[in-house]
Amino acid sequence: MDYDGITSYGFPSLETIAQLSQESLVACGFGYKARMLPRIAKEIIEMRLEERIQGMPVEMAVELLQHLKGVGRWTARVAMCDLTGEWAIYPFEDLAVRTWASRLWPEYAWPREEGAFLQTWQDINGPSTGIVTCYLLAQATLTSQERLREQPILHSLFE
Amino acid sequence: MQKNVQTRSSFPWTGSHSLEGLQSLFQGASSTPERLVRPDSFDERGRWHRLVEIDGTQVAFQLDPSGIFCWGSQERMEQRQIQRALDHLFLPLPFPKKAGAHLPEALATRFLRHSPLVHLASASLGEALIKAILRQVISAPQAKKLLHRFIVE
Repeated sequence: MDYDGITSYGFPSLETIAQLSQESLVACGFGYKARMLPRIAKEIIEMRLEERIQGMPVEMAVELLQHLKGVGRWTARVAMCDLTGEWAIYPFEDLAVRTWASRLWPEYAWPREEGAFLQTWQDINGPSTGIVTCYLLAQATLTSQERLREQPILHSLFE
Repeated sequence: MQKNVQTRSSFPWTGSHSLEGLQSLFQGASSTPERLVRPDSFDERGRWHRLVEIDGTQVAFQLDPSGIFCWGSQERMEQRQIQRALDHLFLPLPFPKKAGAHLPEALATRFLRHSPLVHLASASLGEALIKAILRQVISAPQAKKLLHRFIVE
């Protein structure tokens, strides 16, 4: 849809995704996920998940989503964090969190192993773990963009 | 995908008002090296755009850096419908001072400088879940390009 000279795109509906062919998704660059996407879209429709998660405690919704084949702990938590803004459920052992904790908070010797990092990150940040993670990842994005601006040659290659 | 070409003036139903506290949405927006659809996007004037489905109707949202919000739709929209969508899409997340008490001082100062960040939510569970699946295994830049192709193509 064009509005004020700008073209905006709606996210494809579940019905549209459910009908996409594997070939078209492979051509789009999806690899092994090409088979997964239409199946998951169908399951969300059939299980009426959009309606069922309304008002449901977010941890319960995370559990429910993991009944979908191909949706594990990380995917369910990232999706529900995205949808609700509840950063307390983010998978804190995520590689991006481990990487940027080391870069932006080098004063602490963060464990490299996922489980040990998760435990330490939660112990150190306590009830603020979610909000600290949110700001850490936002700062990571801004820091990356600052680096791109400082390296104009690299910047133009990306464009 | 399902692109309807319309101009702003052709919308029979429009509205605008000012929104406060969303400045962090624009941090770094103008320096983005590639304009990728997520499905929201920023234009060259730094304005934020997104198409949102509200009760079965596509509504175009636009927010400029000064905080002026505009919407346009082919169907009549009540203010409460627009507000419900805005409340879901934009979630201000202020950084409480006490949350930074244990952080290195420089890091806490940077976090406080960016406060309040705005969490920009996906519009539906389907969108959030598909985005998370796209993000599995691959890097963030790769995922952004893949998401753009998925939406646009």
